[in-house]
Amino acid sequence: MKAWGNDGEFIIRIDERLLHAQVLIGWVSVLRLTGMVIASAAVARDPDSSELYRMIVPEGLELHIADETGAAEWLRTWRGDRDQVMVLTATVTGAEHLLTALGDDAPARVHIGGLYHRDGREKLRDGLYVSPEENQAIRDLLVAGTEVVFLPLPGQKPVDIRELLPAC
Amino acid sequence: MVRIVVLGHNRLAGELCSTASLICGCSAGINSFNLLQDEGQDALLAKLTQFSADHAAIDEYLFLVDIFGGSCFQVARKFLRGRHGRIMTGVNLNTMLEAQLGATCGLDCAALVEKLQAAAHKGIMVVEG
Repeated sequence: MKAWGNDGEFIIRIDERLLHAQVLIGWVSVLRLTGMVIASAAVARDPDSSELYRMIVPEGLELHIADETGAAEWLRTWRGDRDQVMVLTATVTGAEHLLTALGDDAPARVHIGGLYHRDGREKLRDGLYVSPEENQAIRDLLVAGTEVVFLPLPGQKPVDIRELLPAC
Repeated sequence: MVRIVVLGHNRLAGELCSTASLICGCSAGINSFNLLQDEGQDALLAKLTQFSADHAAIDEYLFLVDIFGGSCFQVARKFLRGRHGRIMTGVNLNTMLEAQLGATCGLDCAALVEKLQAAAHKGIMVVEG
C-alpha cells in the first residue's frame, strides 16, 4: 500500500488552506497529479476565489471547482487514473458531505493536511487543531469505516488520527 | 504613499527584512508579516487588515511575496481587493536590499517594481569555481 492512498483511489484531503504551496509543490509533483478538485460551495460561488485558484494551478493540471455534490459527479466522470486526482475540502464537514455524495465511489481513506489555530480549537500537532465539533465529526467518519490519517506532506509517515484525537 | 510589505511562510519575511537591514542599515517604509505553520490564511489577512486600519495614509501597497500561488500570495491578493497595489513573487535578499534602498527614494509603485525585479534577477549568478 502506498503511504498516501490506496491504488486506484483518489485522495481526499482536508486542508483549510485548500490549494496552497504544500499542495502545489509537495503533492502535485510527487504524485504527478493530473486532476485537482476543490470541493467547496463557498469557493464555487465566489468568482474571485475561483479565479485565484485557476490562476495558480500548474499547467497541465485540470482543476474543477464545485460544491461537494458537483465534485462527486465530476469524479464519477473522470477518465484518467483515479490515483492521480486530489480532492480538496476545507472542513471535516465538507469531507463528510463529499463521502456521502460519492457513496460506493468513496475512497477508504481521508487525509487531514492542515487545520490551523483558531479560538475553540485544541492543538493536536503542529498544523493540526480541532474543535469539539470537528473531533466528533472525525469520529463519525471513523465509525462509518473511513480511515483518517494526518499527513501534511507526501514524504511523511501518515499518523492514524485515532492516536491524536482527544477523548470526547 | 507606497508601502512595501513582505510576506513569507514560517519566519522568512521577518528574517529577510532583518538580514537586509543588517547589510544596508535601513528599513524605513517596509513591514513584514510571517505566516507561521499553525496559522490559517484568515490570521494573516486579519493582521494585514489591522495594519491597514492603523496606517490610513498608505494609498498603495507593494507586496513582496515568497512564492507564487502559496498562501501568502493568496492572502495578498485577497487583501488588495478594493485597494491599490501590486504583488511581486519570488522575493530574495537582493530584492530586499533594493527595496530597502528604493523605498526611501520616493519612487512610485511601477518604478519600484521595475527596479526590484531587475535586482532579483541580477542577484542570481553562476560562477565557475
